[in-house]
Formats: sequence, C-alpha cells, structure tokens
Amino acid sequence: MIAHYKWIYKAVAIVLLTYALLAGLTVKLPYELPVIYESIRNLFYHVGMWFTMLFVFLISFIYSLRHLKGFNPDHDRVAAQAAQIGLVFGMLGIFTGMFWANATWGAPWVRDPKLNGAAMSLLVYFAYIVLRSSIADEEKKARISAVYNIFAFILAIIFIGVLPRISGDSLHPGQAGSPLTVAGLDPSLRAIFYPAVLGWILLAVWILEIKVRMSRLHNTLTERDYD
Amino acid sequence: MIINQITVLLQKDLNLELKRPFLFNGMLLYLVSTVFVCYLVFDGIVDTKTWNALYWIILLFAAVNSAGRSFSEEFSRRHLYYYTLAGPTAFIIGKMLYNVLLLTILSLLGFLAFMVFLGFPAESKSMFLLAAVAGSIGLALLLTLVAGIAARAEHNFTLMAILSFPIVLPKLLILINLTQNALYEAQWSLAIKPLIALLAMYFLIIVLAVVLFPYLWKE
Repeated sequence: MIAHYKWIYKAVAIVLLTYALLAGLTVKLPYELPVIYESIRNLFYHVGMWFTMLFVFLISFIYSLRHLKGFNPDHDRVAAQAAQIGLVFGMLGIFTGMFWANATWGAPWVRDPKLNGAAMSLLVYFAYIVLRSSIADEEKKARISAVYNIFAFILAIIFIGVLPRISGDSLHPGQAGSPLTVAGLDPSLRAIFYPAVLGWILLAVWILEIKVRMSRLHNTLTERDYD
Repeated sequence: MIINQITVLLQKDLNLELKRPFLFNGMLLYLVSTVFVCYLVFDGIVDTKTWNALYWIILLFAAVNSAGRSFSEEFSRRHLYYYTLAGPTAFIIGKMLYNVLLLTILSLLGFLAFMVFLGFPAESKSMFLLAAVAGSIGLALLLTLVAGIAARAEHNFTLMAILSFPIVLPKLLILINLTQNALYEAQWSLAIKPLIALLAMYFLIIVLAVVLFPYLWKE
C-alpha cells in the first residue's frame, strides 16, 4: 500500500530542491551583511549538507542498533549504504564550506572547532568503511562493524556537538559573539532555508533507497552464482 | 561473583605480563627512545606547547600499541575456554582495569623520561600529573573495546590506529586543553569543567563497552 505512494516524497524532493536552487540564487537579500555579503546564499547549500549528513549517519546508527537486535543482514546493508552516503554529503559540506571560508575568512581551512569536528566525523566513517572491507565473513563483518558504528557514533558524533562548547568559540555563526543564528534569520531567507534542508534530506533518502536496492540485487546475483 | 571473576582475570593478565617482561620493557624502551630522539632533534630546548604536543603524541602511540595487543591471544581457541569460566562483562571489565593499570604506569614513566630529557617547562606539576593520569585512564578504557574490534578483524595493528584515532580525538582535545592550562596558568577553577566532561565521557565509554562487548565475544 505504502509502496504505491512512494513517488510522492521523491516529487517533493525535486520540487523543494528546484525551489531552493532557483530562489536561493535569485532572492533579493533583505540586508547587507558585513564580510558575508552575497555569500549568505551558500547557507541553503552548505548547511543543508551537514544536516543531511547527520541525518543519514543517524539512520546508519539506528540500523546498526537494529542489526544487533535481530542480526538481520538487510539492516546491516542499510547501515553500510547510509554511512557511504553520509560521507559523500560530508565531503560536499566540506567543499562548499571551503568556498565560503575562502570568501569570508580568507583561507579554505581555518582553525575552528566545527571544522575539526567535521574532519573527525568523516574520519570515523572512513574507518568504518575500512573496517568493513577488512573482514571477509559476511555475518562477522555485519556484527563487528555494527559494534564500531554504535561506539563511534555515540563517542565521536555526539561529542562533536558538545566540544565547541567546551573548547571555546567557533568562527561559525550561532556561537557566542556572533550576531547571526538560523532562528534570527530574516523570514524571507528562512522560507528558503528550511525547504532546502528538507529537500536535501529527502534526496539523500532517495539515493539511500536506490543504493540499498542495488546492494540487495547484487547480493542475490552473487549468491546465485555460487549455487 | 562477578567481582571474583574480574579479580581472577586481572590476576591472570598480570601474571602473563610478569612472565613475559619483554613486552612491558619493550614499551618502556619505545617511550624512552622516542623521548631521547625528541631531545636530540630539539636540542633539549622545547617550549611549553611543543612539550605538551610531544607528550600526548608519544603517549597516544604507546597506548595504541600496548592496548592493541590486549586481545591478540584471547580470540584464538583459548577464548572458548574462558567462555566456560566467566561472562563477557567480567571479561571486558578485567581487560579495562588491566589496561588502565598498564597505561597509568606508562604515562607516569613517560612523564619521568620527559622530565629527565626535556625538563618540565611549566607551573603546576600536580595538575599536569592529574591530567596525565586521567588521560591515560580514558585512553585505556576507550582503546580496550577498539582493540577487541581490531582483534576480531584480524588486521590488528593498522586497523587499531585507524579505528581509534578519530574516536580518541575529542577526548584528546579536552585533555590538551586541560594540560595547556596546567602548563600556563595552573588555575584549578578552570580545570573543573573539562574534568567533569571527561568523567561523563568515561562513564559513557564503560557503559557502551559493557553493552557492546558481548557481540564481539560471541562467535
């Protein structure tokens, strides 16, 4: 029953992202911000990447938990594919951030708790992929990488959220000493920002669905070869 | 019951360590020789920040190396024998305690080696030692479960480094902040917040390890 209406979220993703791209690039800015100027438009793309990355990593974490509960290989498949997609969005987040940082801070990479956190979370999931590829036995691979995924997600990803509050100020907006937060954003920009974030997340879910189906097919094909 | 099992497992590990002193002596030699190399390279003159960085880098590698072998012999057939003696909870807690002991000793001896070769360019020794001990306890707790994962994957040493560094980093950043404080200002009031964060993190690590280890233990 639900399968019949699955196209709806894909259509919503297309509509929202088209809107975010067109409106984000053409909207008349309500104010002249010092230093940032027109580059504020990157907000709709750069910040969306991080929200999407966290969302997809959260999916990966939840499916690792579910895998340890019932040892269903399909749950592990979702966890693995979600981690890969999260990495792609994370890298896009870093690249879009580099453009922005180059324009506003004068260098593509600066010393900042949030940048350190972003690099760390990517390292965690690269390590996860390496761990997966180093175990041959499928059942063991699924179980052990799920253990690492849960351990790493809680200890690294959550502490990345806590760390900037301990280790001092970030150059990023929304931190102490900065005038700009998402909640304090002009309504005309917020009207693009929220749909854009939702659009990117739906796009990631769409990619995830396709990748999981491909992985399933690949699995049945190789299994048939062995029989 | 479980405390009995833990003490027996801990005793077994300590006995094994005493029977093969070359393993611990090897770690010690690694510490002293790297510090000596630093002494030669830096000509004995090291500013506070470099001192701090060197201390944690050397200690991190020593910790990854020594904790990395904590399961190297356990997941063979012998581990089927343990299976009949103790539960996974006792097993992982025993291993953690053993690593805590080992790394605390290593970190203190490392501090001694640093003092001898590079001096101690700072304000408060007691505060730095507290941070060093707190740091080595945390490293030991965290690396024990990662060592279990790496041992299960059977590519022990490279994987150990890859898997542990990104998880160790948040903790290491807090620690470096703490020791930086000990080296420059030595204000105890500034040390309280990071220490509480560390304690919360250690509690979380222990809970996670106890919950997750049975899945590594199962064949």
